[in-house]
Amino acid sequence: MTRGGIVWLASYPKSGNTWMRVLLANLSSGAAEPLPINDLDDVYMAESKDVFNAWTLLAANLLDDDEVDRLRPAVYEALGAEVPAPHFIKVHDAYTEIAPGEPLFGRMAARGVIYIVRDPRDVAVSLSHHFDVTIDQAIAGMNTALTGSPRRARSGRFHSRLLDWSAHVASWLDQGEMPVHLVRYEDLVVAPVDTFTGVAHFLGLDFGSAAIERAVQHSDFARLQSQEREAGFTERLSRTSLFFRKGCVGDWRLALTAAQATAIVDAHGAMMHRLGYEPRPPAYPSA
Amino acid sequence: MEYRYRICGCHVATDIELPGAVPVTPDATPDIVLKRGELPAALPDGVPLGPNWQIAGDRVLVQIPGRLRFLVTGGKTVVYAPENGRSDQDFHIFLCGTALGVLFHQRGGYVVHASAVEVSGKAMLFCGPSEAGKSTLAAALANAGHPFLSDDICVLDVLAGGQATLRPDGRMIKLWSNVIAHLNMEGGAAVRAGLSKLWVQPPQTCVPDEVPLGAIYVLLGDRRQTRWEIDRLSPMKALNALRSNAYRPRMIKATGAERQWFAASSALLRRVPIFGLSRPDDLGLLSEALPVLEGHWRSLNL
Repeated sequence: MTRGGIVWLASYPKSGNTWMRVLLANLSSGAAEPLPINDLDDVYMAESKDVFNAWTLLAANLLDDDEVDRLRPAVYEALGAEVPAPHFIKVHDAYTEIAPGEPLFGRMAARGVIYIVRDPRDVAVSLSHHFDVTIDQAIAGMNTALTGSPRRARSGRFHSRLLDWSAHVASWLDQGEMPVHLVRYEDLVVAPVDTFTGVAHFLGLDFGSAAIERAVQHSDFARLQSQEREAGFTERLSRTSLFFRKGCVGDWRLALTAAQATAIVDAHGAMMHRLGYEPRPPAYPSA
Repeated sequence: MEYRYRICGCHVATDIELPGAVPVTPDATPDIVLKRGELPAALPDGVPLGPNWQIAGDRVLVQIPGRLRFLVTGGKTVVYAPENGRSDQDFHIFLCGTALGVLFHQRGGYVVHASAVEVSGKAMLFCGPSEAGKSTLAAALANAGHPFLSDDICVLDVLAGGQATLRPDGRMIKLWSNVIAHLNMEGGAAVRAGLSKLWVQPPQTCVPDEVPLGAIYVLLGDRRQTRWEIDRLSPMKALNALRSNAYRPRMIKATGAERQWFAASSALLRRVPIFGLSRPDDLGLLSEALPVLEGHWRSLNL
């Protein structure tokens, strides 16, 4: 049995998933001008109920959690078998099993996963702006295993099963079912061409360096920001903050108190270390 | 016990009560028979077309694992088999929804995932993805005095050379309890046991055999949207919207009706204007849809 054509774009929220979609969309369009950020909606979300409804002929909002879970793996298998690779699907769900040996995302639906990770301290700052919550609330969310009901009435999407931040990362990196390509947000900022070239290689896409460089230029953060200022962005939730807000590395040093940074390191130090995020950066040398 | 209903223009005889559907007197031979029976787990010659359904000739077998199976045959019969002693309240919604939706596809109907109200003798259809607010908007319009025609499933006749028409049934609307409260309507029984989506009797229904189509609106959700706006869709966008707003679009392919669907869609495009209706993602702004739509209907010279 061959693997399906899905490639998951997986990440904890506010870790660069949308930026990756912008990069991939610009790479595949090959257009001379940057793609409008509001034209990205051709990428499915794994949590979309319309995909579920289309494949099952049912209405997800009339089903209970167990009924939905029992069908979701087969929905992804069926979709994966039909679409040519790479067919990108954005997902914020953690990689979980609905029963022992039965992954929520099916066994053979996908070619692989691009997992995008970001320093959890910067994630906390970004989450608080995106959802208009306090930083302490954002940290509490990242430190809690959010396994709530996926059904979420009155919405076109299933609720994401996030787990806590470390468990989310581990669930995708260690699932062992399909190849993973790990992308660190920070590498995408510091060395975008090299990092994105790695993504293209993982996908087996042969675009050449000029096309990669153009896609990177078209996806430059300042350009995304100016697009959002001009036309808004459909994926923005916050009433006060832009979606493409800062996009920088290490913003947490200004935005978090020492206690807040410690709360994250205490909960996620081991995973941070594994990913190369220095849990306790050296103090600045005193004068 | 036998129940008789009129659903999407068809006379339906069932051995199970279908809440929400409009009862009729049993004075005619039923077009559709819906009854409980024994069903196999799979059709011997069935081709799986989705994770939980398969097709063999004019038969479609659909399964909700651990809950219910139903077999829809030839656009005429639905046989259902609940599993594990499930109560009627737990599954009748799937018979009114998916099973009849599949059946109307088999009958060659142009089946759209939409709700509809009547305006000046014309049917106004509102379609869109899951939770786009189709029923909510139709309920608000019904509250404002526009007779309610259809909820969720709209079966259209798109005759070559003739008028495009809707076969309404005036069934009850399915609304979430927060919407019912917002609209000051009265909620009835739960659509499914344990669900906070309830049956609601619209204030005014209207069930002629057919109603000519006035316009089709495709609900577009966009978080940037702060007010209700209407734009004519380009022919290509309209064609794509008709396809994606078919009731369970994969049934078109499954019944081998892709060419007929395309031909009917093209005919529909020539006869009925199709608009994008951008809506704000805020129930508090629902009432603002009424003057926008009513102004639009005046401009259409219905």
